[in-house]
Amino acid sequence: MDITSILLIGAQVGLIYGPLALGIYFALNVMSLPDLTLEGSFGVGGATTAVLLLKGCDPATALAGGMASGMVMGFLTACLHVYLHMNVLLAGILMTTAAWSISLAIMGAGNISLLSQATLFDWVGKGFGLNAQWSQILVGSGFSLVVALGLIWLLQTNYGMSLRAAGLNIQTARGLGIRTETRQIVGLVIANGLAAMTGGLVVQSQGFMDVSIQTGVIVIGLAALMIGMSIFKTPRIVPSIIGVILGIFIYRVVVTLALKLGLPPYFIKLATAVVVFAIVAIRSHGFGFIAIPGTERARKAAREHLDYLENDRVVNIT
Amino acid sequence: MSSTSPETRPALEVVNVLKQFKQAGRSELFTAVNRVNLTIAPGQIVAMVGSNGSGKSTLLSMIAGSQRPDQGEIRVAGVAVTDMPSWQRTGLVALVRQNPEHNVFSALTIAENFALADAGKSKRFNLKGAVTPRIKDMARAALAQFSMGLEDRIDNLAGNLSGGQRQAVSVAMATCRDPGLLLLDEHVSALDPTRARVVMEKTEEIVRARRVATLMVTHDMSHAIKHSDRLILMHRGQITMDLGAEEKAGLTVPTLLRRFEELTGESLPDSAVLA
Repeated sequence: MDITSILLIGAQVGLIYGPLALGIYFALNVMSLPDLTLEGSFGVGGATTAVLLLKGCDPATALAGGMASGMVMGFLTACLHVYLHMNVLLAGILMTTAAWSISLAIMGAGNISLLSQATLFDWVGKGFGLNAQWSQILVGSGFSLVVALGLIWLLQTNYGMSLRAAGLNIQTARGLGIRTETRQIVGLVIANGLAAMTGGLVVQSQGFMDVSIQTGVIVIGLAALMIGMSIFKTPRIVPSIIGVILGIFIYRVVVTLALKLGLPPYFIKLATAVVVFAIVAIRSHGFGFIAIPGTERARKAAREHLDYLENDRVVNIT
Repeated sequence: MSSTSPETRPALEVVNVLKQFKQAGRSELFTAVNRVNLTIAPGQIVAMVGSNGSGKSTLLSMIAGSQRPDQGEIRVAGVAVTDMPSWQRTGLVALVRQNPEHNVFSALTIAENFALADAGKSKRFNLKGAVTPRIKDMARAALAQFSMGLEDRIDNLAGNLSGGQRQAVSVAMATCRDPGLLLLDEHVSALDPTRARVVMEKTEEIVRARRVATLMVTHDMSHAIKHSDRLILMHRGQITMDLGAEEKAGLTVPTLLRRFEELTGESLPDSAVLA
């Protein structure tokens, strides 16, 4: 099997999801807001981009429009949390359900073909004389790089520091003069804008929009986040962001490999979930859960497991 | 805003403040703070003692802004803060809590923590780089006062520091903002006795040098007597004893505990008695 071609396919399909993975990192890790709206924003962003392309907008404007629609979704979720005092998880579930109808309303149909519309990938392909694969790699890596550098810059500024503070401890942050509710709104607007950016890129790259593309897409980002967080175990920003980008690439290489080895395509989502389970297991247990019974390592794992059970807390989201 | 200078206005005025809570399964309300009046002069260090549930923490929360009184008014340096959100009070009030986790962000470096404190003082959360040479100099100068070697570690994550070091950073961050009023909520009680003494002594030194009015809650009676200008005692939501500098002079821990028992009929838990 050709390893180069697998790496190239991983980069081609994976790096487009870089902004989504960074959006999930931003919401879940930096802001500590478990926002599932990201999945809905991905679909709404894709729908808006597709419709704007059909209306004759150029690919960049259409993508910007898609992003804006995702930012509105994030704003609404944040308002549900801040003004209706709704748990973010619950707000996200509701918004994602609503997003399905919103996408259909925007599209006016279940799917839209964009085969006759020029896309960003056509622009880059023509501009640099590249084939489809290389233009997808170039666009995907370009967007991932710009978003990664943008987040690294933002999170080192005074405002970015206040966003991080609001995601670490709300009481401490407020004590330092940070209006945490506006930070949560801004944080979710940014994260959902990034998810919608990936939605718009995916629609342009595959040449059609189907309302079902949003289903389960958050798991891809979660897989990337989990892989990324396991590479450099640090709360520092730069290694974390590099880790997330590496994570999305590694995830796609693994999926490509699995498909080449004969895994049926309908198993991809199951395989993704299993990858996330495996990473979480290794992160929380090391390799203790496969230790031989009776060894010191097994006893240590048993103690840690008991500590977890003793300290487990319920979270009531109603 | 009144026209008098900040130096002549009281640092804190608590006027007739009442705070009640619902009790689970009961119809009558529990009165945590019962019409308390308290005035603190600029630069004065006030120690507040009292048993658990006496209302000390609730009073502190209302001054810091995490809770709101049902009735009454609170003014800090002449500014009415009664219904002001906590994030708007930053220039006026600084709070150091008991748990070091709640004072500094473990996931940020010491310098980044100082950058937040500095930006919060002026509410300038702008898009300029947070950790500048000015911030680093300020952090080094503020930390050098504790002589713990922390000034050489400002690029370390705050999570790598010990509890005592983190409380030192917290006091340095709170005082470098020059707040009108500093609130210390048992800020050394989680530390071992030696560390607690060092952090307490340095805190008093810095607060006196900067002339920051301070309200300090403590369970350590010797700290309360030694490191204050005035000692007040809270019991069942009210201030039952208020000793100025002259009355406090010559006071010993056993006398203080006895006076508390005479006043309230209960004994006062003192961490120092056990030490």
